[in-house]
Amino acid sequence: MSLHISSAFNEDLTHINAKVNEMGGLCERMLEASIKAIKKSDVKIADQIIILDEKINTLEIEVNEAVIKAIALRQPVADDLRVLISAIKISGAFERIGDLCKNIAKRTRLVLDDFPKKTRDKIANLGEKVLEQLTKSINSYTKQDLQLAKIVWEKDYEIDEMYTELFDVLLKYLKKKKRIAAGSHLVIIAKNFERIGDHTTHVSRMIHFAITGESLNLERPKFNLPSSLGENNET
Amino acid sequence: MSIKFKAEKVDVFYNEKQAINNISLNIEKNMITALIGPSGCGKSTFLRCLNRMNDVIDSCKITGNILLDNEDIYGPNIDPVDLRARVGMVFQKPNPFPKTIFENIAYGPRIHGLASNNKELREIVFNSLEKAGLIDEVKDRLDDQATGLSGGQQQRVCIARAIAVSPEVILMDEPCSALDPIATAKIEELMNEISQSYTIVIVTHSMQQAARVSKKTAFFHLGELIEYGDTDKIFTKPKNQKTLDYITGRFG
Ligand SMILES: Nc1ncnc2c1ncn2[C@@H]1O[C@H](COP(=O)(O)OP(=O)(O)OP(=O)(O)O)[C@@H](O)[C@H]1O
Ligand SMILES: [Mg+2]
Repeated sequence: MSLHISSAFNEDLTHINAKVNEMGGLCERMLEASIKAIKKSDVKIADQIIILDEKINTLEIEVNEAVIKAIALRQPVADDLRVLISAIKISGAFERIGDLCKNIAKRTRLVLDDFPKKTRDKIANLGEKVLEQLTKSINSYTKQDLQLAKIVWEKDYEIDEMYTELFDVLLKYLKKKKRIAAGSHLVIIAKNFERIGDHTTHVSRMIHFAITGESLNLERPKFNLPSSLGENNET
Repeated sequence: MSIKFKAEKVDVFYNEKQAINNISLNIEKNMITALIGPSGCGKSTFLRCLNRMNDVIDSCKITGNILLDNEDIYGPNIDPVDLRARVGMVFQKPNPFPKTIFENIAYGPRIHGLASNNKELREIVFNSLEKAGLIDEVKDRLDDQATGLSGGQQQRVCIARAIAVSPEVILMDEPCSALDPIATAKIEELMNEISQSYTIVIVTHSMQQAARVSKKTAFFHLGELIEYGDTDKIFTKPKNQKTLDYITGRFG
């Protein structure tokens, strides 16, 4: 893509892009750390995550301000406008991902010791799948890689599948052991990973939109709801 | 949608130099069409073809066809003076006659015999000033010199003057380039209001203005028509890379 005649506008765009990238990188680190915290039963890691979240929040505000300034001062059109609007949306998604990681970390601290490694590993597996998607999505943003963005979007159902399976496992475990409080935290942790997957998919859709001007159809491969919808199975 | 102007394979030369190259373009009736493009790409030249203002330039030669309501405006039955009453023009610099405000507006209707008495003439003048959104500002000073008005007011006098002869089309060549944002907004609003009953073609260097006022946009580059389409498409997803580079201010 050729450069703008206005070098100041080029700089603005580069600057915004760098901030969004930085947010993506932080999300990756937070997600990695939260998986580790679960796997290794490590409370210290959970504390670090909470600090990173503040940084993401600040960056999101900075991205919003920079985009609003660029729109007001430059009146961008066409792909320039799409790039700026998606920067707002993508940074919003990253901010949500940060929140969810923080939430996972907080809950992890509460339940770590209560659960067998096998169960924790199952949840960590889901987290790793989500991380894989997130990394691809960030790479597709950095490289403006349309194909990669599309792959992320198509593969979201795999996360849904894993989550659904995991949900059933957790529910059984919960019922058997009557560990309602701790078990609920685990279910929510799993759900949070799944939500991070959704935000990741949203990021890849925004990348696609910024590049092509076309929205990816909302219809994509979808997996069914969990086979046991908690309340129906409650006895 | 019916077509007001049909340009077919139009070439324009100034002596040897070709300013317009094989342009075919339909301009739709009672709609605002914007012509955009870099300086020297032939926007004004093309606009002037539409009411034969190029006739007065000796070096200027035009080939191809330009049809107004399906009639060739360069055909033998067309009187350029009558044509210019049907296809009025507003220029970049407000150019009121050095006469009173009233006389500026009354001049056209008088020479075209549009009023049979003074009362009718006054009505036309008042109506035109009203449509141009100027009546409240000037109704107590119609006998003042038009040149004593502000630039924005003068430009609206020129628009009123164009409207006074009941044209079908109004051509505007950068009508707001000398005006402040408020005067510009008033003229844009005026264009919007009158666009139901007039076909308007506007040349503008302001992308935002083209985007704000027009329904259709034509992008010219080096004498050629590169892209023509709905304004909202041109400014969100143009098809041609040259158009994209131009509207986003990139090096082409
Ligand atoms: N009267 C003239 N005699 C000779 N050449 C002319 C004349 N008028 C315009 N040209 C040439 O024709 C080409 C198109 O000019 P035109 O004025 O139509 O461009 P434009 O798109 O209106 O530019 P601008 O945005 O600067 O007003 C230019 O190369 C110009 O130099
Ligand atoms: Mg011009």
